[in-house]
Amino acid sequence: MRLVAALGALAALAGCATGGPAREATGGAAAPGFPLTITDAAGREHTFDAPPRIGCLWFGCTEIMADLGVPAHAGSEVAIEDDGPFYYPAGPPAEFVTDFTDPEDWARTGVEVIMHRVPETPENDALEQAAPVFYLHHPSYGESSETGVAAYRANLEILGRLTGRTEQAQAALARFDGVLDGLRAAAPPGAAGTTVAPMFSSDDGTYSVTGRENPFCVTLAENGLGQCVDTGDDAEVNAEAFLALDPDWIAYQVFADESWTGRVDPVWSRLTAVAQQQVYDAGNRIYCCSLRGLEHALQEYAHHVFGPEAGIPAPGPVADFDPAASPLAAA
Amino acid sequence: MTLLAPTPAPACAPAPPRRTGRLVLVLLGCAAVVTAVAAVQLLRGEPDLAPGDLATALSGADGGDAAFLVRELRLPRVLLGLLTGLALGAAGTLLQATFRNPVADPSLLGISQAASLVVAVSILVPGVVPDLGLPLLCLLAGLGTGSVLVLLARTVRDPVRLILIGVVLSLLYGTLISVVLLLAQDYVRLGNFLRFTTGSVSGASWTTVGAAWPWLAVAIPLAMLSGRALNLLGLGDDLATGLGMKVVRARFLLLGLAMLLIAPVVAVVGPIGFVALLAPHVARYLLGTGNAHQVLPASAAVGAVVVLAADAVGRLAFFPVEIPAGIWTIVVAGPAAIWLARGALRTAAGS
Repeated sequence: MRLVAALGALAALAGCATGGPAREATGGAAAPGFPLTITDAAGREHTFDAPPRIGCLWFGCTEIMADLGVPAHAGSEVAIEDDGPFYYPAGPPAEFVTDFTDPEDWARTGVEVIMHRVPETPENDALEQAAPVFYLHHPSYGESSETGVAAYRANLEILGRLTGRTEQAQAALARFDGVLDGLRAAAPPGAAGTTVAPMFSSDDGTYSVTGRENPFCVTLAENGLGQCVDTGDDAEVNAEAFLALDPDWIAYQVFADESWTGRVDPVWSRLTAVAQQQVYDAGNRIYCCSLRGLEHALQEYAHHVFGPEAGIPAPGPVADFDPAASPLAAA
Repeated sequence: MTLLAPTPAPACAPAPPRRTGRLVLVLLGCAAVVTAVAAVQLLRGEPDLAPGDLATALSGADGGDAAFLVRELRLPRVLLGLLTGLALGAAGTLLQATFRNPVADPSLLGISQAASLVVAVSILVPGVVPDLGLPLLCLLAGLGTGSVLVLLARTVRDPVRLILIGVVLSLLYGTLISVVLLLAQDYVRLGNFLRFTTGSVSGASWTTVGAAWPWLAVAIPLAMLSGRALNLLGLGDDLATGLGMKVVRARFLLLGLAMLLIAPVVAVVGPIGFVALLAPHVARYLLGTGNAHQVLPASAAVGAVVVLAADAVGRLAFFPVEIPAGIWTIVVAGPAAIWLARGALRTAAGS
């Protein structure tokens, strides 16, 4: 009897040490499709006997987990706090990793796989001491087979398989396609010709603009919703060249409590978009890193650019953005 | 005369030769290059302007788009580049003479990094540094670092060791900057700071020119008047003291003057590397003398040429994409700096 009690206590301790109850969030009993052998975006092959406890180093992972309706088992500071990832309504990961470069910190959480994104770097090899590092696709970084929006789709499918939630993954993909349908239906005549400059905030009078290869810009162009101004790749653009581009709209990407209203430089006040107050604070979700992030950015764009006649509500803050509840998805 | 040697005057030698004619030639040559580069900068862009349009825009007769581009964007940029180059060129001469070290430079001595640390904290952790204005804060940070070096220079006379101390200070500030970067949560501010660290005049406006101008309007003329003190220091501390110079006090004053030149530049455009290091050497080479009375204006003029040219390349080579001027100065001047350092180390080893 004592032996049983001791074993029970040990089992309980082991449960605590590995995060215990949170294991049910992403790990757990064997699911259909396991054992699973899967190749990541860096070309590395991984085999799992059961859905692993997932640690999200990259916030794109956290956001995809939310689309699957389940929080990650653990998340790094980067994946949880920076930029306010979209994990509504699944909620944040149960475990918090303060130093994402520290294998010990990851090992403490009991994760069975650490989700990062390409490119594969030697610095991440140390994390293998805690758990295998699985590289997701990134829309522009690295050399994965999938880029742009396709990278987001591929990541959703990968995590759907890893969590045994392929149906939820397919539902999220269908939802995104529904949002695109809704946007095309809501777009006013001539929307395709509307020019927008997604630019990063700056307080030194410079103009850094997101390149047209960005998934947000590609989605706008492919669906006739508008077009990003052509400035080449993500770069600082000469101020007078930006003035010559003179976009109809400016999506001003800010990361903190900033706003375009505080910007003062000679070119800024001469821009048509500024004069006509066709500038909006775009949060930080245009440049990256998941379908729901892109949905938020597109709804925000349509809310401002399509005008009140289109009847598209503002998506609101990222912290409680529920793409499934978006009227665009319903449409 | 080689490009490497600072040609210190031998003890008990007559005053360094004055080659006024050569100085005039060098200054005229630099002025011609500055004028040519400035003209290109004022004419080229989006759109390119005809010389007639430029003249009209500059005369103030036309208030249209061309006038806006020239007066509000291109002209302040040229002026900021000019001021930056003049200041860095003069500061390089001051630092090299003050520390009697041919590779003394704001970056190698940790002065730029000290100022960068202040800027890093102010950009990445708003509200932490007191609101005294960045030029003043950079000045204080640079003066603190420079004072440590001057005090050490009293006991550490080996120029290589002094540079090594500067490098260590530089690394210390670099580490502190890394800590600030790691703690920063804001990627846009991070991007702004990283752009700052390369040194760029692309954000020039009358506001930025106005922030730097009052300091430099005082510091540049004062620097031009410090030739005698620099020549005395070049004789060596003992001889300078024998000639009535209070060496430590003079070093502090000259260092303060160098800081007055560097701080507003770093605060406004960032630490543009290697200009202060190379400009004095080029000036000495062109003049054929180490006479500080002549090296100071020539070095300032060479600095202006270097910064303006680097900015023109950065602005126009991949237009409309901006490549910071600091990148080009490093690309061009970096290898030359290695060459200089090699020469200095060989000289030190020989002594």
